[in-house]
Amino acid sequence: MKGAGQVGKVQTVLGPIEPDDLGITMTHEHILGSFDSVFPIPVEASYRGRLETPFRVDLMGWINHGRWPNSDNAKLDDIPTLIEEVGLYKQFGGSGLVDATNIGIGRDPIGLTRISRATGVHIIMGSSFYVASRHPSDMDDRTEESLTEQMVGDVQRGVGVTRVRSGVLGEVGCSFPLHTNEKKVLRATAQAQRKTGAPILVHPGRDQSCPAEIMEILQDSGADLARVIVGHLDRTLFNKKLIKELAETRCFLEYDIFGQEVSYYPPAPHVDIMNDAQRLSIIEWLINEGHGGQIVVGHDIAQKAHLVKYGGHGYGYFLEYMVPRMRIKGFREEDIHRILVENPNRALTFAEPG
Amino acid sequence: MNGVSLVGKVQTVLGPIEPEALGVTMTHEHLLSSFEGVLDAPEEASRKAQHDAQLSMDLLGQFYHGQAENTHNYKLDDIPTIIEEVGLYKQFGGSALVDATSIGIARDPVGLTRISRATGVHVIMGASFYVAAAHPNDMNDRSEESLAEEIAGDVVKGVGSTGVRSGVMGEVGCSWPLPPNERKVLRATARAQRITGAPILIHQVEIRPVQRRLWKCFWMRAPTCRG
Repeated sequence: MKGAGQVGKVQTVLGPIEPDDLGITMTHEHILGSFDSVFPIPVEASYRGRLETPFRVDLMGWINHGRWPNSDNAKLDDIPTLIEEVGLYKQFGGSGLVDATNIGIGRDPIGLTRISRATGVHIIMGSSFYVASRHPSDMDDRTEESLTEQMVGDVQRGVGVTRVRSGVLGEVGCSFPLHTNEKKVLRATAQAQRKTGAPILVHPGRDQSCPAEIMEILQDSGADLARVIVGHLDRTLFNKKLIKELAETRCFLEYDIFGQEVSYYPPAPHVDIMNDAQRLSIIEWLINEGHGGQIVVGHDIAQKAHLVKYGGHGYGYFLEYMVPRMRIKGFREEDIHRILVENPNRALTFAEPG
Repeated sequence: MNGVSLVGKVQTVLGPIEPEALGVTMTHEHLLSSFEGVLDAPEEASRKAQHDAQLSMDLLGQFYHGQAENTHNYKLDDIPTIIEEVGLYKQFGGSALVDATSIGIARDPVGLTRISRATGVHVIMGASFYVAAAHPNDMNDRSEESLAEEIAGDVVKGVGSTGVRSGVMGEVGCSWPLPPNERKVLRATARAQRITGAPILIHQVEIRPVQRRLWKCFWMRAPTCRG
């Protein structure tokens, strides 16, 4: 089963393809996913009532400004709607999307193949496990080896009887501080990379110390850090010295919350999440520091409110709004191309196992 | 031109009140307004259609992220809706609002009194003129004196036959570069402040030279610059 014909290819839900065929790719989205119950249930009656209210236009302001959670908003589960949204992405030039949804948040292999066939957009499906609060109930008893075996199965044989194969190990869920089981999952994911050659995509905990700790565990467990994408940097790392240190591990640096312009961040109210101008400014700095070959981008679409249909920005936002803005700001076309095409294609190409 | 003395009071659309009665106040909102006259229509056919479309949920993202402006989106004209919205403001502890809608963007004196009575929120109405793109057609021919008189009249006598009086002169529209007519309005507004004692509220472009010129227009004419 070594390699399973994947070395040098990108594994999409419809099969392996040549990296050159992948085209413009966002490396961190959720096409289908269910994030309800990630958030705590509010205590107050009126807030709890709104939790259960179907998505409505008059809830959007509250949702966008992070005041309270809404279960319906947290579900991307209607395939015709997602076909339309992914179709919009294609209209703006999009060609590939990473569905970072993995075990615990509603991963949907068959659903992804339907959306990919309907739109012609390449979809790369995730594997491994989300944060500890979404782990399966038997996670305490699972061995590292059995977790590795499950992930290798997802990548090489496909998920269960669907035979739809994962093309990335992630997003690997990490909380702050790192939960014991999350460390176990990280070690198992590193081992699965050694066996499959698949890239790893990390969701770090919300603290500036977290990415370095994760990278250390991955390295000690045999992962190739140059084949790791570290996600959510726009809400995690603000200190340039720490960003530089992370960049020097040669990992991929992912700014993946484009389109969310509200600075208030309910999961960690002490963090002022970056806006688009700040994201572009830090990317410009990284290019000038010589790390332009490591940058990948996305929107982490994870709510109805992020979809165009529901008043949001959608998967095509970076292409529709950010690319012209990068030109206005003086980014070179070669750098835009690296960020949109070359870097994600390289990041998602399978390496020789072991 | 001295009617009821306004010195030491805040002038709301329902009459002068003591400053202590004003409470929590937002000093720059629009309750009723229409900015359709100052929006640039896009060239591209599909964007033009969106520019003129009725507001719907699937268009909101584009308007929010600034790719497109929409005339319907820029109209606040349904009084029951605004009564509800101002009512929410009151629920969170709000007590007063400045309606910065000036001449050119559909100031609505009687509408403001209805909203204020329905909600119990104090509303302070604007005067003077918005940016040149929204000036009345005859602005080229208007003298500084006639503008000052009109602005002061809104504060002291009320707008037209409505009897509803402005409590602030603004938002005074300033573009970049400042057109001659906007400078004329600034000078007239400064004069009106000398006549009425009313505060001035400025809408400016965030470019330093504009700010310098603004203050230069004021220095010689206004006793205090509360811009």
